[in-house]
Amino acid sequence: MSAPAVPLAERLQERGPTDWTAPEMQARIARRYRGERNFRRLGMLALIVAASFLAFLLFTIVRDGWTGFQRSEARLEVTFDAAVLGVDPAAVRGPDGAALLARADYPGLLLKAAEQLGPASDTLSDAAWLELRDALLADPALLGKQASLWVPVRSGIDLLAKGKYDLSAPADSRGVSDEEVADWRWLDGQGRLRTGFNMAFLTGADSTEPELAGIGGAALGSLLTLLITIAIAFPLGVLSAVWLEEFAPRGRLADLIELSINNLAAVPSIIFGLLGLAFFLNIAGLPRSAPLVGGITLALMIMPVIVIAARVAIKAVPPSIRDAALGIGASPIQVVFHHVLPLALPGIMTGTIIGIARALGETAPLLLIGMRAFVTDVPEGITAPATVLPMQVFLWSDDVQRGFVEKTSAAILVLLVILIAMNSLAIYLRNRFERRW
Amino acid sequence: MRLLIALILVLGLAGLAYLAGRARADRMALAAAGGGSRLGTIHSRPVHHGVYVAMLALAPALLVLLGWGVLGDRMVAGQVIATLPAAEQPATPNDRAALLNEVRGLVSGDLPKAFNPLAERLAPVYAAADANGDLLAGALAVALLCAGGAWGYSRLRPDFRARNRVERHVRTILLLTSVVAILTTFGIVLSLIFESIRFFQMVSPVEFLTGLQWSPQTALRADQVGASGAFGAVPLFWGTIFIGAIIAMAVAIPLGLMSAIYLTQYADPRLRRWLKPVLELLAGVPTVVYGFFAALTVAPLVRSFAVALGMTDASSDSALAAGLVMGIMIVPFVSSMADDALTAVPGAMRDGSLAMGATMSETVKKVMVPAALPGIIGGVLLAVSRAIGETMIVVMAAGLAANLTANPFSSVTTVTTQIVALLTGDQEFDSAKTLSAFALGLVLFVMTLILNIYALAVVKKYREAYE
Amino acid sequence: MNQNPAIGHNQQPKMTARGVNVFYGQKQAIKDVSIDVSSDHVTAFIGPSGCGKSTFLRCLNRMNDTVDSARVEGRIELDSQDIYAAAMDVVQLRARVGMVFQKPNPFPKSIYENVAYGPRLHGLARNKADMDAIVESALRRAGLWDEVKDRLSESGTAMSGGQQQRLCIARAIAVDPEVILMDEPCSALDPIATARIEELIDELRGRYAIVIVTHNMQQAARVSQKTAFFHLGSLVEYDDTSTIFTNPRETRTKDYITGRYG
Repeated sequence: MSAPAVPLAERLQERGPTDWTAPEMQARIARRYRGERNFRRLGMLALIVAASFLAFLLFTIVRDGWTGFQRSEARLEVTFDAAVLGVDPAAVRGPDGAALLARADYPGLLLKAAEQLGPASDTLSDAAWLELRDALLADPALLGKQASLWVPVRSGIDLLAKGKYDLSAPADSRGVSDEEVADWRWLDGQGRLRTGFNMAFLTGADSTEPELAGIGGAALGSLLTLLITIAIAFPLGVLSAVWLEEFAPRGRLADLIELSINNLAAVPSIIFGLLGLAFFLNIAGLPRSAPLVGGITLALMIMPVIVIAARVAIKAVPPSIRDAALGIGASPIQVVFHHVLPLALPGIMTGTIIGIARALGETAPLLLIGMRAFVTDVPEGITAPATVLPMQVFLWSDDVQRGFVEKTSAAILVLLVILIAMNSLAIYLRNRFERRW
Repeated sequence: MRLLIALILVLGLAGLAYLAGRARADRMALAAAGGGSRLGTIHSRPVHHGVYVAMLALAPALLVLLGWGVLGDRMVAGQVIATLPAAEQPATPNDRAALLNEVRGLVSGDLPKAFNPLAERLAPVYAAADANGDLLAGALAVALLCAGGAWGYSRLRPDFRARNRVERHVRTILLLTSVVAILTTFGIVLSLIFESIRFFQMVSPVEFLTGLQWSPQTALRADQVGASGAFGAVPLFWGTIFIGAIIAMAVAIPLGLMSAIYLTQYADPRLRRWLKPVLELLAGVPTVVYGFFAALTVAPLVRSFAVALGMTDASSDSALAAGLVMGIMIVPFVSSMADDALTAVPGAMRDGSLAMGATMSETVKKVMVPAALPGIIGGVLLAVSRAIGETMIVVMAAGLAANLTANPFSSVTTVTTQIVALLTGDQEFDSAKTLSAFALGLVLFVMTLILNIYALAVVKKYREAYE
Repeated sequence: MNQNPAIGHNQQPKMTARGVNVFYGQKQAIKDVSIDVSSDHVTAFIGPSGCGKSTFLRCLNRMNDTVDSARVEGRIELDSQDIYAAAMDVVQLRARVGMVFQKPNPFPKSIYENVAYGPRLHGLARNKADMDAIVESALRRAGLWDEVKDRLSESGTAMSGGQQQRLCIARAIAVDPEVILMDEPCSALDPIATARIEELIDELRGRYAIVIVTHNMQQAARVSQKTAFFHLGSLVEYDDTSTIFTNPRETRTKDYITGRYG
């Protein structure tokens, strides 16, 4: 050893090599391995806890929600008596027959027909007469004849039929009256009850009655809102990304834009709602509760997502492609629109789909611009009051009626299926086109 | 509707302008060829000439239509109200808005009959003024379109640099789209500041930022005690931090960090390949779903737990329920940030430690996590910023009572909950109650902005250190 | 510490490898390599890049375990103990067979903590004074003490590349290993720092069995007493360094040494 000998180091050298077989050393190693195993278990535990929490969430929603796609119906023998309907059979065959039929007194007819249900005559849904009308309008020849129809029952009976109440509990805590239980037993005993697929849930609009409420109106509202969002955010996002990546001169303006985009991407969504309220509603005077304003607000919210994704995609296009195109005399604009953008498109689409999925699931900003309107019909246009799917979930979750719990969960299931499909498409696109160079 | 027809008309005419410009360029090309079969040289391709003419035609017309679409309603309304004699003029802005609503309802046919007889009288006037305005705007747009198109058409020459012109305009459009981001930021800042200033004219900023009492109810009578409401927002700030930065993070940091460690260091690569996309999917679950889960399932469980612990006054909208679910929501986010930070640590560092005879857990605890700490902290700060700005979970599961308490089983309220509560339902736009929502929004914006800028700087610096 | 050079050749080898094959997935990286490493001199592994010399080195302290797709066949012994046997403790093995990497990889900790890391892990110091002594002696042996003794609390990543590499050597020495594996330790360093490391290797010879992988033949000739030439995953020739460089048996070795390929 050439280093100068120092007492300290020499003392150390006298210790000799480490004796790994000494019992204290072995015990120490055993202890360290125990620590290692525990740490590893802790990591797995964290993963399992998080996963099971989410599995529990999904489980409760599926458990509560799948019955939302079904409704209970009672069989009713209906005689389409022209006198009860208040129409003239002769006039019905005339040119205005359809209009006349549409205006007839179906609630009266229903009331009459419900008498056959005896004690359970008040169990039919308020809107059950619509089934009678639809049946007659579909087949006017039924007028004066008798038909057997299935009509929806009230939510209480519906839930009883689906077994949502614990009937062994004491009467005052089970949430359903003895009278309703008796009605249900009677109907069921008569074989007049069936459970069918609830088409009205998918096509209908909101209602104060759980058995009639549907997500069709909200879904159309979401669609209109998203169309506006895409129409604004996609071109804006892609074009700004092009400018920032391909044309922006290094300088204060580009820095400012970049800073703005990065910060907008992290601003809480509710702040965009405040912007929509203060600017679009109060200053610009655009209509409240309308898909137009909702769409613009969400577009501003997801634009940064699209810009960031598009910039990454554009940056990934190798410079050699640009050089090649420039080399044969293409202008920079032609290079971008003929070569760079088509090549960057998969990446841009991935970002856009993720952004749109975010907009579809967003509720908070829309609350502030009033898209919580109670709309019992499908929205008529982009300036008419409307609501959107997640808002429908929020509104129903607030409702005290028990029948809305399954509706809320069912609406969540629909929303989740759409969102998972969109996100899976985005992930697929990304993995499919990821490393091309 | 009329506006839509005008828009379609304008677009159609612009299409014609394109075709005309293109046709002329084609003819010029033929002429330049001197009758031969080969096309002669004109500077730009016919397409560019066509686009140039169409652009000149379209731009002013679109501006006119856009302007009328945004401002038209107000101009018509002002005009209609002005026809009323002074005595019948609506007294307050609210009356004016109600009257105009009825008038519009009558005109569109949504309203069969108005309550205000004035509305019945004004409806035909309004309809006429609206139709006039639409006609005028449409005519102006078409006129400008023709003028622009004609001017553009007249400028076409074989050596006219149509392509350069078009491309310059395209560049300008690209620049303008980028400026939208700045405008949005300014829009947010201005609307928040503007409304907040109005609020601070009624309530002192000091009281707002340091007061301990929050009860924004407007009084029924002017002489009522506390008629102006109390706007001390400290309980709100505390509630926000308690739920978002304390309870949620107490759940999300250990779960997220440990999952990330397990996934990056221990898990089978196949498991990792599966779990990463699943985590991304989970991050896409709408917050309203978590809110529903918190309110319907978790809150009752937490309450029964508290009652079992002997707390008789346990709240059914406890801070714990909202914070727990928010923490679960943030787990995928924290996990993915920690994952990024851990994978950014050079493999040589890990190998160095393992080659010394360290176990994996010792390597993780003593080398990897300390090395990745800036990245992890940055990720956690971003997660906090997300949690305090999160709205739906707290709106659905947290309470409205502004309590200053550290008991997780009692109810607290948050900034976002209050913003929603203050701005939904009936609102008078000038009341301190409504305006306070914007002041809260401003505080939230500034808080998240600071967190984000700081966190992004930390993360960026960290990434650069290992690149 | 015994430094008697006479024990040299008749002493039992420190590590022996017999019929070692290494696979990465389907690809075979090492083909049937058998070699002895002795305690009292420096062994160099040379060969063109991709010949498997680093892979084989990483088998000697089971660092290949950290690569999921890697599979090792054959028998490698340390003091006649099979290091791939179930009874062999990998943590203990790596404490006995230390490693220095191609790129200096000090931990983002202070110089002191970098060196103290291993002794702390393995519980080699009973108290602070002990630890101070271990750190000082390791830094002295790595020839770094005089340069850093006044700034032990500064970050290890703030040093120059050559110092960082010597710190990594000090870190490996601090656990008092029996074998030190060096994987191209100078490839990221400038000539002056390289010379310093080579000097250091020479000073450490005899105290530890040293195996050094290098693509630099002059370096192998300067620092080693035994040289193994690897080519395409096979061990072509293993002999005294002087023999390999002056009178190789195999033409492939000769071609490589004389610079025909590589």
